Amino acid sequence: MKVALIGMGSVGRGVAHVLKNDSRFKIVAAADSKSGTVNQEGLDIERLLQAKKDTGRIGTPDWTAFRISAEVDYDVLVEVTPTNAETGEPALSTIKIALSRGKHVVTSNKGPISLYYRELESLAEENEVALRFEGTVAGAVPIINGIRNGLAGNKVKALFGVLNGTCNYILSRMEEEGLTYTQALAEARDLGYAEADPTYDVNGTDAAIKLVILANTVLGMNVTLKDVQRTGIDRLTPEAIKMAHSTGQTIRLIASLYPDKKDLEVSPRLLSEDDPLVLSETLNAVTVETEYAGDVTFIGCGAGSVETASAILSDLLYIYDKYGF
Amino acid sequence: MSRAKTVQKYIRTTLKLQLKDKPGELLAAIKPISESGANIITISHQRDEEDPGSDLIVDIVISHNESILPKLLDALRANGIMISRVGIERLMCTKTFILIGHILHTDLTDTINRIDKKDITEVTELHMIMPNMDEPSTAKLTIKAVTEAEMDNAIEQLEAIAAEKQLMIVDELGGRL
Repeated sequence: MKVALIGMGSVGRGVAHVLKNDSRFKIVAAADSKSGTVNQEGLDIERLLQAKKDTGRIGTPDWTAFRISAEVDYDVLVEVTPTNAETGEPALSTIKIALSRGKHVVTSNKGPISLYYRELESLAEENEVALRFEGTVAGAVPIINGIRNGLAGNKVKALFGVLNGTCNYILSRMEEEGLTYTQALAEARDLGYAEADPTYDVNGTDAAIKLVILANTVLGMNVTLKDVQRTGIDRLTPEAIKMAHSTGQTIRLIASLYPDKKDLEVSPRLLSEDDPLVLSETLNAVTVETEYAGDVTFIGCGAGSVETASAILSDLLYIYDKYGF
Repeated sequence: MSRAKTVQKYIRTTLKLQLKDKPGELLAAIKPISESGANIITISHQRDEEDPGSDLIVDIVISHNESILPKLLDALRANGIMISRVGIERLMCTKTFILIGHILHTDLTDTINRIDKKDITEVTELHMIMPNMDEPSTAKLTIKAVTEAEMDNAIEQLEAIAAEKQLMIVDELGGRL
């Protein structure tokens, strides 16, 4: 199967690494934000990763993501560039071009999926190709395929998730060490768990975008970011967590969703210390309350290079099997 | 047609009964309770070991619609049961919240007064930590209410107060357990 890889950041490099020794796949084109390269025989992935490391580029400026998407002969476009939450661009255009050409698309980019899922899904259907996006929510945790396939036939009564690793790290450090919010955030930055500007993480926007994706893609809803009531974690005090502890509770940033009431919320909530959603480090988790299966909780790495690449790989293998490559 | 809103108030009552130590007494106490529609939560009885012939003290905790209580007490008395204490707990719904912000300086008394409705919703616990004069304080607040609906009203009120006084509310993950 011929892969065009768009995006050479942490996830893109993880995908290259995971596909490197898999004979079922051949990366025929790759692009980062400044350059691109094409080889129908298959790119030398070691050299590609080395070039990225040494020069910050992988090819020449004339091979842009758009041009690769529009002109190269590939079977599946893997789109793993950073999320643009406002417009979804430029990933949105790159994906649309691929789908219109009858190419499968696998993405971990939250922008296009949270903003234009219905439109992209019908474009994929019209062209009889697959649009897969397991990597958009909770990284390596197979939550989308887990609900769609694993829990198929169950009505989802409610869903509760820890969907932002940065916030989970900050809150668990405040709990474990009695740190202030500012101290815990500084620590998260030092360890590379928080971005230079962590606003979207700590104010609940990132978790809310993931909740919108789950609502629209696996729960059949039609909601936008505006429908999610959001409260961030930046005002939380160490005292609040201590007080919660005195009654066997703690505080986590929880994304909650009740499909029947169309009630979507992301906010710090009190929950029992032995709740399966209470985790340390940057772990992600989702509890789904279902009709027949009862409560099912998924836990795992919410980010990371090869971890997210694992979600991409599972989507690629789904296409590989279903479309008979 | 006027539709008065009738609220079914469920309350929890502890009855301390004094029974003669003779066959059939316990049944005479339990039968009226069961017939009243009350739900028995627990029964415990103690016998005075020093004085084997003495009365049997039985504590029964029931939950029931408030309106049936007078009739139930009459029925017990009619069966010859001596009722030595009736303890009523009206506020059966409990929820805990954490508030963060300038809680004291935004008129704490007003905050509590606006939630308190005697015998319907009450703030039963308030624990506050104030680290420094200018820093936000943190409080844990327990609200009890007679019904879920009244609890919802209290929460709505609390949210309005929080918006007005710029307090942050952390509430329990609802609808679980």
